[in-house]
Amino acid sequence: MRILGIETSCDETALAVVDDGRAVLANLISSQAHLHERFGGVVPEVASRAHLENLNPLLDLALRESGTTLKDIDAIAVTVGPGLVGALLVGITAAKALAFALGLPLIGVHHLEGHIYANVLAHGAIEPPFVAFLVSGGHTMLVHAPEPFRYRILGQTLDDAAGEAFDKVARFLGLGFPGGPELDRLAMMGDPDAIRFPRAVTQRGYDFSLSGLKTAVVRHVTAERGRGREPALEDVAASFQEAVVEVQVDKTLAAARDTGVATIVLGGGVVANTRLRALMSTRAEQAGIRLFTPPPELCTDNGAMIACAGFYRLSRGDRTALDVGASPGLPLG
Amino acid sequence: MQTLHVRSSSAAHTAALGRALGGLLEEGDLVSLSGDLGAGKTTFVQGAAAALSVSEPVLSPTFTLVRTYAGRVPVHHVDVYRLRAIQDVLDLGWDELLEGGGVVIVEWGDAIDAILPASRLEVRLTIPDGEADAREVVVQGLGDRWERAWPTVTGAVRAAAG
Repeated sequence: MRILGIETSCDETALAVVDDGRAVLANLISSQAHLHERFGGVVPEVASRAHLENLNPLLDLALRESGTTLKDIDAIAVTVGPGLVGALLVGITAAKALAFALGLPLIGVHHLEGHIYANVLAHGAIEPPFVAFLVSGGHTMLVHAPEPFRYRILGQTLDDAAGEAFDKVARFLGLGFPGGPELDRLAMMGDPDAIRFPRAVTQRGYDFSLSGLKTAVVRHVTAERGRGREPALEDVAASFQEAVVEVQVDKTLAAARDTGVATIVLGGGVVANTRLRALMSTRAEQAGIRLFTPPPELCTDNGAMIACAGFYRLSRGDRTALDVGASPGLPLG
Repeated sequence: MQTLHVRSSSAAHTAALGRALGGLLEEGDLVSLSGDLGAGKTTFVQGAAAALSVSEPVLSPTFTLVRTYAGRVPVHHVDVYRLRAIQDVLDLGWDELLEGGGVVIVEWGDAIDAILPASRLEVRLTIPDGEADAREVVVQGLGDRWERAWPTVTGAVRAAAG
């Protein structure tokens, strides 16, 4: 079964063609380097107007790259939430139009379920129960999946998402915006124990809080400069990253232990962070837990993960009505 | 235009200022918030949201650009940090947000001065050189609405400082 997956929940206009929830025939994202010329270099964009401009050329390209015509498509999967309402609507409207015109089933997918299924694309079906740690620019969430398609949120951020905190601290350190990946690279050269930043252990067990840590970084650097000293930015980056990642790994492992699962699944753009991958991998191995991590290209928002999740939902008989709307605050569950 | 200078001594104090001003907000009001990273914008908004009877955690809107909460009136928390052009803000459905009722709180509002309504409350948070905890807070009221309410604003801010 060949599925067209459409994802426009935030910055990226993303389209993919995936066979049987596994074989990625095309997976295009509007901000990809080789598309810059075609799109005039004004990506990623947040406005729905940009999604609208990107969508049709991207669809043509995805079909051509996958050697597919619209007649070969068996179903349309699309992100219906959560996300920015105007951005979501562009993808949903396109998906509905295609499904209606081609007489194909439409399947709405939760963005975060998509991130979980990025692992299925890479590693094949993953049997619940498992704990998923979903971490990106807009989300930081620990989820327990007791059985297929059932999710219980264990905890989430109470202020900033991890990716956002990385980006903002990167900008403060002069690494540009978004500078999360730059911060990761700088941190590799620094000492993670140089500065003991507070570990954001919130009152509620699995929730996260990063606003205070971000402020602690600003305070540290400002105070050092006030004393006439220029702090070693690689040490600040490494120490900040360690404080973030340590809490994330501790809580994820604790969630797996407390729910009695033997599998952890990671998803979202921040999973590309090398320190998070390394520490999670070490600690999971010590605990005898199987860890699934998507390859970096499937960590960021993409259409293939939506097509994959859509395939599994269709396979069990799910269908979405053509009057579906955007759900900016759609809960996972 | 009315201006008030306050010195916040701590994050708790900044939150109290947020609560004090949040308590005065009514449907149709807009607050433009500015300040560097770590200056206390999140803390301030959390305080204001609490005063507006928002019970859920107030998450950063940086990535999603807008988050709406059900308080005693709808509270739209907007962040224009990532937007590059005024047109991007308009494309967000800006006019609908302003006219849709409820309270709008915009972070980094100073970047979109040109499209802010003439009547608004501006709050600017700055970190004084070499200081860790203290913040300079400047509150400005623009337009008749705030001209009239200024004695109340001054009273609420003073009470929060107490």
